[in-house]
Amino acid sequence: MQIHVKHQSDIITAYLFGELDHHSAEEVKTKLDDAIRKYSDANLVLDLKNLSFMDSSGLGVLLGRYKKIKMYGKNMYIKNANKQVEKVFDVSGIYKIIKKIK
Amino acid sequence: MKSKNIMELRLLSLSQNESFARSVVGAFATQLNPTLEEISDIKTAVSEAVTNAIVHAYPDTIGDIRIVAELSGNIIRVKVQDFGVGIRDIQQARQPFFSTANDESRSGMGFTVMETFMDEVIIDSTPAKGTTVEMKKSISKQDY
Repeated sequence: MQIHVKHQSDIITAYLFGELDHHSAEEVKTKLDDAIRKYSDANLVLDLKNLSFMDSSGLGVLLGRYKKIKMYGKNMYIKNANKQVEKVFDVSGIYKIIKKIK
Repeated sequence: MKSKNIMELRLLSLSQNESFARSVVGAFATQLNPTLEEISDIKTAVSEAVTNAIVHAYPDTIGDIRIVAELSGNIIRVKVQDFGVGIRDIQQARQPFFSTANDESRSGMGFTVMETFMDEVIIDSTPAKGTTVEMKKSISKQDY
């Protein structure tokens, strides 16, 4: 699992590469929390174009980060989820909480 | 393909085996000529079942996980068995967003995902003996 973080004015974009499951969850959580803390005045965009797989462990990680970023008064968005990841999102109803953008 | 095929895999309950387990079952399932989406569905459901065994069946120990996959006609059956603590209340465990785990990455959606991605999910559990999750999915007939 790799994460590249790009910071541009008031937006952090985190690009996730690989598979997000229970095994990689802790690493993803730590890296995203570091970025959220470092750029606490920015909104977070998760670009999932290169996330090839995610199971329900990913939902927990994303919802946890959403709660954290809300505490800073900022927002989180999801973009470019593949079909498999999208299906897990749809089952959970996560898009009622975290907005999808293009 | 002959009408029936079986494979069996035994793993330790280590999180690095999650990806291995779902890949193996996904690769075995390709013998039924499934669509990419059907393979993804099977891999996701297996990932959930194996993760449950790692997190819940063996919270403080490392134990065995046995996976049996059977292909018959256009149907795949996958059994994920552990010999751990068992589930006290299966009804409750199946509820969306219910989790006994303190680990925040467990969203409580594991069984809901399995039920959505597979046609049938049967849970059999005995406290202190273990849990078996049996999942079934029919693969669509494709024209080539």
